[in-house]
Amino acid sequence: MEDMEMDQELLTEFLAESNENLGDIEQQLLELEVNPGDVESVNGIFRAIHTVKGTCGFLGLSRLEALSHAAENLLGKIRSEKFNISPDLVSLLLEAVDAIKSIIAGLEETGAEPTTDYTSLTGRLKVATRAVEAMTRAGVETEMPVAEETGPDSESVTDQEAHDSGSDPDSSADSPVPSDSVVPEKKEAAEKKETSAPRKPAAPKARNAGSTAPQAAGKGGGGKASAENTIRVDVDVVDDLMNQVGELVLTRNRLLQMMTTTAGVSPDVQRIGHHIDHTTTTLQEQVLRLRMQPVAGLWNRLPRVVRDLSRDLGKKIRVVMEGQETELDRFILAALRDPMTHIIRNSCDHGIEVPAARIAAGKPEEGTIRLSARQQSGNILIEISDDGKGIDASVIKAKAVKMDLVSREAAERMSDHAALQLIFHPGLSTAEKVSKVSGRGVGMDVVQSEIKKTGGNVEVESEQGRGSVLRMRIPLTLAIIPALITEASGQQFAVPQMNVQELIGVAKGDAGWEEYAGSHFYRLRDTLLPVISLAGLLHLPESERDDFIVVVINVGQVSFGLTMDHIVGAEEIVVKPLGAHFRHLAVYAGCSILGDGGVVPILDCNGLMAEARLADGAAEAAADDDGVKIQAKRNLQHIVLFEQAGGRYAIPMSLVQRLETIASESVEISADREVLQYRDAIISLQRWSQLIGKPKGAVAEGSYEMACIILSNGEDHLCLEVERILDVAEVPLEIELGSEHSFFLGSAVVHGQATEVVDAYELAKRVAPEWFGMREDTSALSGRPDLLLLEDSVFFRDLLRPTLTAMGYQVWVADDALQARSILDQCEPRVVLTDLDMKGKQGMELARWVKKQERFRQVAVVALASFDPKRDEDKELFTGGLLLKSEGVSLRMRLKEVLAIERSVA
Amino acid sequence: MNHAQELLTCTLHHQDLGIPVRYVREVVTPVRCASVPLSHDVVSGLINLRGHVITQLDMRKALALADREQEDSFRVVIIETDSGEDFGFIVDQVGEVMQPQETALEKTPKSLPPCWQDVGSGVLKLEDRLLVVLDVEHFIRRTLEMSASGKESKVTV
Repeated sequence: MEDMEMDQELLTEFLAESNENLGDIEQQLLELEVNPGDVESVNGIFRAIHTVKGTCGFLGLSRLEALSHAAENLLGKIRSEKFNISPDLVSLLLEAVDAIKSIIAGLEETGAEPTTDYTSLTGRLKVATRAVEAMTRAGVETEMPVAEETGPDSESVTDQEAHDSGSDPDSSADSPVPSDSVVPEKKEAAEKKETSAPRKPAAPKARNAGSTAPQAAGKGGGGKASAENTIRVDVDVVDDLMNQVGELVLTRNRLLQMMTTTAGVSPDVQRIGHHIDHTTTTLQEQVLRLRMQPVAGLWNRLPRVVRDLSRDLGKKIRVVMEGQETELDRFILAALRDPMTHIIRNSCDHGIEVPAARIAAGKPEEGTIRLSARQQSGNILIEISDDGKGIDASVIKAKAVKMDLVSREAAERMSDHAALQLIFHPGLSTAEKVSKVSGRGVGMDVVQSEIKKTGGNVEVESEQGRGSVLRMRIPLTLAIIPALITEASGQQFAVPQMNVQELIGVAKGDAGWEEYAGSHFYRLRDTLLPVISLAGLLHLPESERDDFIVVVINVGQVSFGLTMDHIVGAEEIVVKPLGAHFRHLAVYAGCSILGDGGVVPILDCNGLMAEARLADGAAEAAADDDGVKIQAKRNLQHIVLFEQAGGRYAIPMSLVQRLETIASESVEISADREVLQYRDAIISLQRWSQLIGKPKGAVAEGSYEMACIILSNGEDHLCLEVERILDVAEVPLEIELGSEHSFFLGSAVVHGQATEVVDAYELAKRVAPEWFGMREDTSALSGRPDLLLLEDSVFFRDLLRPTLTAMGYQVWVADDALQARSILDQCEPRVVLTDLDMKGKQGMELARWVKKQERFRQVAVVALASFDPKRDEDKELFTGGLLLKSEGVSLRMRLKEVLAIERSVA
Repeated sequence: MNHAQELLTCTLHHQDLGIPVRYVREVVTPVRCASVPLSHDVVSGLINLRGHVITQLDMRKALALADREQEDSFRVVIIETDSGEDFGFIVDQVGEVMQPQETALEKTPKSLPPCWQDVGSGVLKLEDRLLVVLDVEHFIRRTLEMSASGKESKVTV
């Protein structure tokens, strides 16, 4: 059949049909496992496989045909012999279904059958078919329980493949988990307790449940009757229709606005206008429904996941589903797929206990994972609960303290509820041991971010010993959203209502304002709400107003205020995507056209929060309902605060070794420089007053005590004499760049006062160049080694660049991967320092690219990240080592260490 | 094919420019444009063209030419690209549609300023002037690169 040109249309049709047919086949197999004699289930499964086989023969898909043929034969035999299916046979059939699905997925992707070899699986299916036949012919009572039934089987089937398929009686007897412990159960059906199924009266029947949803019409056995009432429509057509209706909604809005603003509109026109309004609204609702699909589509593979997991883990778990007919936008459903699976895996792994532990705790041996979905005030509420051991808040706290996410005192004051939410923090996992099922602290943060992407949020509740509940709130649809139209700096912006908690009118002089380390807060009912200016955030000119509106934005656990000039109104807006030129701007979720025809950008509240760097620090601190402060170490810096001639200065602790009081008479003059004896060494004395050119008013005569800061690079020391040391503090440093002296990083507000922040490295470079091996020969160094720094954050760029330069590198800075690549075209760096936290994993991407280039084989790639790369293969990329941003100001010391290794090699 | 692609002639900072007609949907007069804060200078903003939101690109900014003397005297050429996204190109003036002989198309001479060499796919020698034929896809790619790399272009640190 090599010459066959597969008819594309036929193939598409076949794929659509097969996906539909195979959609709930797993579900049916699992039901059959619970209810082995259910003839109807066997028929349904047989039909589905049969259809696949029939069509693929026609299309010349030989691998798929061979496989589905073997599966069909086995099913046919089971059906004709009325054989009671065993869990092992179910496993085998599930495996076959998986294989069929993966071939179909391959077809979808490439248009050709994947070349995976399924002959072994086909062989096992054939062997199993013979076994079924042999057993029934041998007159084994088909009604007898499965466990015994597999007994004689093993005698007639001896080859290895049959053993693999699990029909060996020993293996199934010894297997710690009877696989029939997973019972997907539909609540409605279970409640009916109808006795239609002959052998197990209470058995649930999926096809009865959930058939209220139109999409369920295509399901298995019940498909025929409703086939006449449903048509298959290309998703593109629906999307297009959706867009058209969106346009109509906009035109309607415009019409309504004109009707209210234009004087003397005749009553007839008014009436027609209202009619159009009404019809449009109805049409919009109907069309939205077209995109809606029941969550059943999201859930139907979960029982299978649970079944396989519980086998692996030696647990007994059943899945109960409620409200699977609840409908959600199909885009959202797709986005929830992975988070859902992850949560379920977590529940199986960490939630439900092993049977022995459950019995000891007085619980039923079999654990239950309950999935429920329902509508609640315009959102869909999805709950995943288990009756496992729950989460111990104190364990989470201890871990958070250990990992320095929270201070010990804060942890003590923190409520259990607040502590539990920490499981969504990157890097925190309660698993005591790493298992193959749910990894090592990666996951829940991803779950949260995925859910946030849909505009929803997630929280966890738990009662120790009783179980946990994960609650997600998801918007119904993404296409049309209610939004608040606001204005800042003369420009309009739409804010999704979903994120708007409340609006407050505020004047500049209000008592509620507080300022902390340069950030503004507003005291709102006992919590400190961080407030950011939208105009400031978007680099727009701030309008000169004394009163403005603070829109309180809520994103998951975090609230913050956004200042606006005023609110224009509320409108239902159609979300339109922004063009390619805005892809790098996370602060926008899209754009829309308003009633007056103007285009308005829609703000992305998650993006705004990230832009304002609120995610870790102040916002969480203020938003936590108990007023507990979660300190994000990343934003805090240790500094020494000192004073000179009325000015305030801060020097990061990275280079500071000690603070000393030294008697003035110990200063000696050596080769025109002031030096002093310090710990068996002669060290240079630098007077701050001279460095900044602000000499002290009157130089003290005779003996006096000098306030000294001892700086050190680890080997050499330097004494910096200042007028007065004020404080050593850990503060969030938001440094405003730009300063008159090169050895200032910039200015910041510390303890409410403007403070110049000293760049200790620049300072040291100037007064003690020998620290960096930069004596006289520095300028002679013609070929400084090149170093490429890929970093999009100005803060880190400016933190690192001086250090790197001081270390003798020619530093090239790129703020995205594209730019980095073009720089790499022109230079041969010795080191590539790349930030892994950049948008779109650009840092990682660059590292991978560099690794692939032959000419960069000698290049040391150093990662700068706020987390450890998860995968070993990723870690291997970073031949030069890894720098963690959480190291705060000591980051630069570490940078030196890391690069010192590189230099010693070079 | 005796004829090269049809061109819509425009002017941009006293330079004649030809945009292949197959990309041009229409030419519109200035409409209300919503600027998008934080976006690159080459992006003048978003316009509403009969219910479609279109990204309007300032060709002068993209080619680093001087700003227009009169702010609001320009034309917007609506461009349909192969990627499906439409753009509005701001040009100074729009001329006519012409159909040059294929043989008339020449390589961009080195004497032209570099910005034109970069975005031109060739030039046409007219009686008294030179017309640069715009490589539309390349021009858009260039503005995308500028957007992605110079995100802080409007901020002077």
